[in-house]
Amino acid sequence: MKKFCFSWLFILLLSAINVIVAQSPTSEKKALSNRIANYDMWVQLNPETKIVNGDMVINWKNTSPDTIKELHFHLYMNAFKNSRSTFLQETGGGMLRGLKMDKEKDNAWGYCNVQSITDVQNNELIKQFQYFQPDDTNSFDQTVARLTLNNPVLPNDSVVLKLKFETKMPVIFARAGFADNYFLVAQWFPKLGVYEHSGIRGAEKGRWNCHQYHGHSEFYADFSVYNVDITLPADFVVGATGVQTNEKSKTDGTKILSFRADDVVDFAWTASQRFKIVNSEWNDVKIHLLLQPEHFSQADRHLEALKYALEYFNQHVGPYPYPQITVVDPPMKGFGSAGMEYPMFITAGTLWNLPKGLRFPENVTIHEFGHNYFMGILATNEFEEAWMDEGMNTYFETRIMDDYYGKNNAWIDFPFYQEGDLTSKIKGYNFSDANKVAPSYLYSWHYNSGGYRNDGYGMMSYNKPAVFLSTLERMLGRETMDNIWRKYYDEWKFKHPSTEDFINLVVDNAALKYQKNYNADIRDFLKQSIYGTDICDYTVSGINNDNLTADAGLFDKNGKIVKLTETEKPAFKYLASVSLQRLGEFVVPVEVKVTFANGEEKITLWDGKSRTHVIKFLSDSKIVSAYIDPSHKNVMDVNLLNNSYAFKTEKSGIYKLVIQFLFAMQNFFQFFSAFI
Amino acid sequence: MTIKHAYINGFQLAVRSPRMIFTLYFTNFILVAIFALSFYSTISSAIGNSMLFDSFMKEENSLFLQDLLHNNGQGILAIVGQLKWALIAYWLLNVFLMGGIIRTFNKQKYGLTVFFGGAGYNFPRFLGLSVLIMLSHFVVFALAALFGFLGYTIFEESFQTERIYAFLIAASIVFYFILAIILFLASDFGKIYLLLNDSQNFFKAYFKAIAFVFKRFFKVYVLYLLLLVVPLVFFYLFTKINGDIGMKTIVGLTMMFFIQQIFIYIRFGFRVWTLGSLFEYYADELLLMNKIALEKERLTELAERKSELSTMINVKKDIKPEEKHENTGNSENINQKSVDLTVDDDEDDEIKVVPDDYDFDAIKPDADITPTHLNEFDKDDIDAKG
Ligand SMILES: [Zn+2]
Repeated sequence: MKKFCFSWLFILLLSAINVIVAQSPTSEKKALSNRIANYDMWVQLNPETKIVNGDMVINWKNTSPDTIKELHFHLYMNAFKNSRSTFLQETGGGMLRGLKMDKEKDNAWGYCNVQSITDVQNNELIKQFQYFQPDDTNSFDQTVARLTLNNPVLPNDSVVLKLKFETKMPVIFARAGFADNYFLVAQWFPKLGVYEHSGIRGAEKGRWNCHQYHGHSEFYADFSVYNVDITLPADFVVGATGVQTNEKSKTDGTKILSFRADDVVDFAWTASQRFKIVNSEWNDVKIHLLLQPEHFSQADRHLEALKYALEYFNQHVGPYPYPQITVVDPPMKGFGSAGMEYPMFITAGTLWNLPKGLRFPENVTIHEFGHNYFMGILATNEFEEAWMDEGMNTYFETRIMDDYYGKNNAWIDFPFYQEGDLTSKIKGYNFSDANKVAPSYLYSWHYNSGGYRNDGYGMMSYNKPAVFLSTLERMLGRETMDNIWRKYYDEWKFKHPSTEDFINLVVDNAALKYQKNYNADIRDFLKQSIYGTDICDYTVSGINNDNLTADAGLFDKNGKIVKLTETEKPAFKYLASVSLQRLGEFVVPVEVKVTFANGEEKITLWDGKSRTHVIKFLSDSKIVSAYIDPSHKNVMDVNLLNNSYAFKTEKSGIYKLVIQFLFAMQNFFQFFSAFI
Repeated sequence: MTIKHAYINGFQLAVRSPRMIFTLYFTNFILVAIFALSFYSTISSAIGNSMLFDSFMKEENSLFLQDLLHNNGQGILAIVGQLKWALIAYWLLNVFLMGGIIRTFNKQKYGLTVFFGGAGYNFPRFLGLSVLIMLSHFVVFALAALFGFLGYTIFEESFQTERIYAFLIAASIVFYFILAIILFLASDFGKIYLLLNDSQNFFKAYFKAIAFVFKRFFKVYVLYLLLLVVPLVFFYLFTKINGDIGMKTIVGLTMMFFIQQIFIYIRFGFRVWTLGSLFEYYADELLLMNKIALEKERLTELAERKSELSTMINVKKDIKPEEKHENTGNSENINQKSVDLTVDDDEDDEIKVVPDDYDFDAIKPDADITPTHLNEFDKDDIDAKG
């Protein structure tokens, strides 16, 4: 392997130019972010050993008012160093998303080893670089390290460091690694944590936010400029975060590819000899699809979904600020890297000849692209507030899927069964064992260690937010909701919003409307949904139509006693009433539609607070039915069946079900008879 | 008989057997309808006074179904749990009815006495055969799975794509069905053997039937595949109609109900067609086989006579004419009602069991006849034996 041979001076010169270019107001492209942590890297991939050797120069800016004495680094690949790492312990020895780490495979383990750290004075700092465990007491875990600096970094000052590192990619089962000669190189370099000064995400005083790599958690980083030179054998096709700026062939059969990415929170890349490339574009955004040859026929499925997602996000949230998006289609053996998101670079996932009725590639393309917004641009802390990236993004995924492919058949579309995307999320949330115990706001690794069931993280970070945000959208109207998203984008793009920041933004932009329409506080809805574990279930418990009789007896009227008898005609024939109950703990205002025998319909609002509630009417017509939330705005209600009551119901739906059941069983029995 | 004739004759048998097809259909319908009624009452009471399904016919929202299953799944699951008993009942009924169908084919006339007499009489031996066939399916299934698993272990490392897994799964399924078709054929041939032989030995029938399939492998296999073509085309057309009509209105729902029932009825028609074709083919093979046996016997007789004559000439010994049939072995079998369905020339002792009164001259290879009088037992026989 070729050794790194740049002189310090030259490196400093290069990175200084980079920083100047990145920050200069006269530079061609204006900086979109504060570009706190900037990385220049020169790396080389050895496909045989699965090792990436690299040199890098980090330029970190102290934008806080604090004096920084130490820097914290993520060394994610050490999660795969041995079976005692926190990641492998939390995933039951290496089982994530249904895939298991093949520990017996040659070269299975991975690591990230920092070999040298020098500062501008050429001091070797490696001895001041020490692993520690901010989240647990597992001393085997080496996924976080702190570097004590010789010279503290003053406010508004920068520190420049030169690092030499070696990263061995593990066999793929969780996001990054290798499968044969396919490489998904992510979480691969020593990466700085985020210094959150007082006020950022509720911090009371300055703190490093640099968590260990956990079984259920993703990442958090500052915005950066990356300049990365990758050297690897010439026959490899490469895709990466950023834009390729140069390619140089070398005489030893290798090539150097240069990439630059501005205002991004991460840098990932892929290399394989088998990729087939499809190039396309949407408006000014270049699209690169890197497909497995056996999936080439599905290029249009990916492209169509991606272009619609681009259009949708631009229209409903904000402009896609990057010039390019690369979609990687991993091979079967590298399926652990499928469905992942990195800035300007996502991994999808499909199977050979996957039926069109199963919209997995479309769904995963849309979902992962959406992460360019929810986490990529709106850079939330995925470790601590996973609902803000996975949940908000899943909400948009359901919107895009259901709008484009059909709300009843977006996810599964076969003649004998169809399912919409939001439906699949509602189902997951409603059926989850965790829905009564796990909140959406939880440090993501606590879903594992906190005694929750396995589906806690998935259901509460992905599904539940999609469900409560859809409910909110239906209550406020899509226009108001989109206004919230656009404001959220405008206010928080290229920053680190927190849950409270989002709640405040929603309150600022929709509280009045919510108050006006439902006579309730929108903050209550959001707090219950995000921090709470209450479930929502309202029911119509009964309908009464009591015959009214005229007043009878002796009444004082104008100083005289008047005798009235029951034979007089009453003012109204019936005292009609609907009894409602709140069976769950979740409180939300609900509309109730009451229908009378004469066809008249009345819609009333119940604040939903008390355990029981009776709506009374004086009427000449009997109530024939009552329906809580007749337009299905509240998709959080875990039992829709008990939301309505009618004396006479329409049976055709039941007949349809019975006929379908009969026919399916007849066929099944007949099929069975062939084997006897 | 050519497969073409078996195919056509089977079709004609099916066309001439609407009542038998209806019996099969009706059995299926009644058994399933009991469950459908139970399903209806369960979901009716689960839905109760809820209006959630009021618009379900117009817009099939799977969320409502999921909600129903989630909140009232126990009752529905209980019905599904009971289905295993229905399947056992259906199995027994099917075995029972097969005896009636094959006997009716053999008799060439449908009558309740013929049908149910045959059904009842054949039931125990058909049941034994059915158990053997089912066990064989398990074995074949296990073999196919093993085949797939072996493929997986061999190819796992060397292939980069999932295509190989798809191929392996497909190959295992194909492998299973290639072998399963032999069992489908043996199941029907075995039943025909048992009936025509009036044998209780379902083990022997099982092996004889499998042996027959292998001896006439190409013909019977092609015949079976041909018999699958029309149902597959029919199935495709049905799914098209299903999609086009849909169930979004009461009219559509009613139409679809009847179309579905016609579909099921016709599927049973295909079953009878298959059984009829196999019966025709078998029976014809049997006649041919017996003809060969008779011819062989005649030639043997001639040869013996020739040999006797030469002996007479050479040795000049007296011959007793009445001894000439002694070694044919036929005389004591004249009234025996058993035949061997295989055409194994080595098994002369079983081939030569043709009734003496059989009129072979009436049989032409292509004649459209059913060998009703071949080793056939009468209702009287059944009664006598039963
Ligand atoms: Zn996601």
